[in-house]
Amino acid sequence: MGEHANKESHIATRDYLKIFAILFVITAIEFGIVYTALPRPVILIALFAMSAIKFGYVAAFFMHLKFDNRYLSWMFGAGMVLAVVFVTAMWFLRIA
Amino acid sequence: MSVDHHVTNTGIDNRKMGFWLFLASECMFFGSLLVGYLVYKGQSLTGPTAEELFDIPLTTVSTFVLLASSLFMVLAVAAIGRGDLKGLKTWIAATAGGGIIFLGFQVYEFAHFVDKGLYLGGSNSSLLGTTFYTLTGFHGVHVLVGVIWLLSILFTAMKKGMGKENTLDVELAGLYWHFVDVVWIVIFTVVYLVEAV
Repeated sequence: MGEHANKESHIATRDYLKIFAILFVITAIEFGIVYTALPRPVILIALFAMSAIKFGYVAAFFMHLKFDNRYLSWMFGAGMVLAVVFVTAMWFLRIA
Repeated sequence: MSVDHHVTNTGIDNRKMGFWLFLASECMFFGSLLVGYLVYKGQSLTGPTAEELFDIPLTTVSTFVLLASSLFMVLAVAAIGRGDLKGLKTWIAATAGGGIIFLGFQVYEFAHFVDKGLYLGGSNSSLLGTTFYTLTGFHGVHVLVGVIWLLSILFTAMKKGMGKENTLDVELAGLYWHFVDVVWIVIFTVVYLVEAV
């Protein structure tokens, strides 16, 4: 593997490895925090936050959204926003 | 293999644009399945509960495997971007291997859950069984499709060879694979970890 930045990806191999290490550590923390005695709301917030961070790293770096045309981020983001709005609406409708 | 892309007013290849639109629609698809699980969570009248069934350590291992396969995929894309055919074949094979191992974990888990009395349908099914198997089952099918796609790229690379001009072909497969990984990141947290809290 070359250690120089790939012009197509703008990211060097070692940077991909660093990002993977971050994802690995976050996943390990997610697993561990579930078994702690922290209050449930704290654990839930931490889990969702860590999940969002992992999502962001994969989308930005592995899927190259950070380096690609902004149209792609808007398109994917629109799908994401619609999905989140739908899930939230259905969640609140269930208790309506 | 690849055709010369047309000049577009956005500067983005039409295939890439179209694929990201597809991924945006997939967000809605998995969002629907996820909310179906969440809305009926804890309301099963029969069958085992999620708390009784879920093996968090095992699922965490499968999550690590899928994460690693995402790393292998970016290395495959980087390899073809350099015109490194050997690197492409190595990392595509590793990615597909990771997907196959993940599917193995899923099959084991589903078999274990069925053994414990959790069913998708039929007279002994429950809300948990229906919603859980539908959500994770569709994700598993997406992984399987991804594995087939990756193996077809590997086969093409071995038989006909591939070069830098095929970078977008591999990149699109990479986008699909990373999306499947991202969906699992959400499922792992919302379905499994939240249950264990």
